[in-house]
Amino acid sequence: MNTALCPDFTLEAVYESMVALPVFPKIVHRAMSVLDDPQKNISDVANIIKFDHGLVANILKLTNSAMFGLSQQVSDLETALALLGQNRIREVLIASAAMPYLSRDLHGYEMSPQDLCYHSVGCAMISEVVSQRLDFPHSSELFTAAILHDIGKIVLDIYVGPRLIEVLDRSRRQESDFSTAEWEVIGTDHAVAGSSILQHWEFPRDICRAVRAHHDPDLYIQNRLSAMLAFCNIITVQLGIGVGTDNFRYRLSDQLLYVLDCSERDYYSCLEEAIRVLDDAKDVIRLIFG
Amino acid sequence: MQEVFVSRASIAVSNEPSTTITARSLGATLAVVATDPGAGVAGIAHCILPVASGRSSKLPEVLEQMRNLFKHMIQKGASARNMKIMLFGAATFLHEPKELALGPRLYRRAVQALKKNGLALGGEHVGGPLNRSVSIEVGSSKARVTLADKKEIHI
Repeated sequence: MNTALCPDFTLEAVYESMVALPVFPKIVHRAMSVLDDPQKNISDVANIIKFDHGLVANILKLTNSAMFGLSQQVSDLETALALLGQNRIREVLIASAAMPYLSRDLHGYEMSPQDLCYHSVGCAMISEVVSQRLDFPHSSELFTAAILHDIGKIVLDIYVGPRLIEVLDRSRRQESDFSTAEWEVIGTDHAVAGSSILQHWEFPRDICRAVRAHHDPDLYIQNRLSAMLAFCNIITVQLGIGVGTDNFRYRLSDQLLYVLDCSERDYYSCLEEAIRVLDDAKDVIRLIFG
Repeated sequence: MQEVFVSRASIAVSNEPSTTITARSLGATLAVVATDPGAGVAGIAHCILPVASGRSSKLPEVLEQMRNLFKHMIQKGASARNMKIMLFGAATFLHEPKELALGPRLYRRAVQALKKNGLALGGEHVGGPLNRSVSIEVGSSKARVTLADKKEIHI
């Protein structure tokens, strides 16, 4: 679609394209709800996902990877699931399902497929560090929000890619943040677009809200999951993990660390621990996505 | 020509003229680049922490990382007197509270350390909302900064 010819319909094109985007696999949602159900067990999860060969292959690859240090190879799904444990199963499910969306060039954001993939998985890995350090009980929700937080960039890049140059120029010229420039040119921003996609895919409201808020300092300090996601994203960007042109063009809340009850020492510990887990992240990316 | 990549929080030093040392995607972290053109030695230290994160901290903070870099440089034949030091990275968000200002803190600590030791800053490309990579050619001692939009700047 040539958006230059009908600039007034840009926003409509973006929202129409969200509906046209391949739906997030229902099987993953089903497996996640079984994992949440205390009446169900690992066999029930295995029964749902055993027909998705891609997912099964990823779970076996991860279980047999160096991360787990098993003395012998595991070849059946149920044993692999038992070894992975609930949280890791959720992460593999989400990461496997998200990766086809994330493995693409984002010309408008000057990001290669590796950048978006590495940024998303890196942020998810860092979310585990931050959850642990700050005693956050909803680490799985944070992981999901972290791996999908930039999903809106895909839709904006595909459908309004050429206009993102205008967004960047405007942000540079006016020293305004990238979200403001996205709104001025396109009429939405990638966080709002991402949140809409996740709502369309029937993700829980808290996750959609956190993705919506991740660049909005007034919004993300209102809710702990949102503040946690913003903090994880900040660390990911500061460490240069899959960083594009826009990533530093945002304003941070002065109250973020206060809201999170995070000391300076906690922050530096998160940075230090993040470096360690990022080596694991490289392995997971290589293992799962080839 | 060989290209050596400096991984996060590590150091690479070479006296092979055909080698290029690169620190990629620095974000708010700091690359301290040292060269001794006369001795044909160059190196990069990648610094993440402005101060140690705690007693059990395993990552060296910026001053320790700089000391390690100079030690490696001297071991390869560089002389402290002839060393040229350059700083790269330390990107900042458009607005960031001082507690989260990683780049400016790293930069300040590094500059203070250079001053204290009577070492001149020979060049820099730091700060602002820019993600950078930096490469140093050992043979020519020339530094090259690459920005996210692939624009190159020679220092």
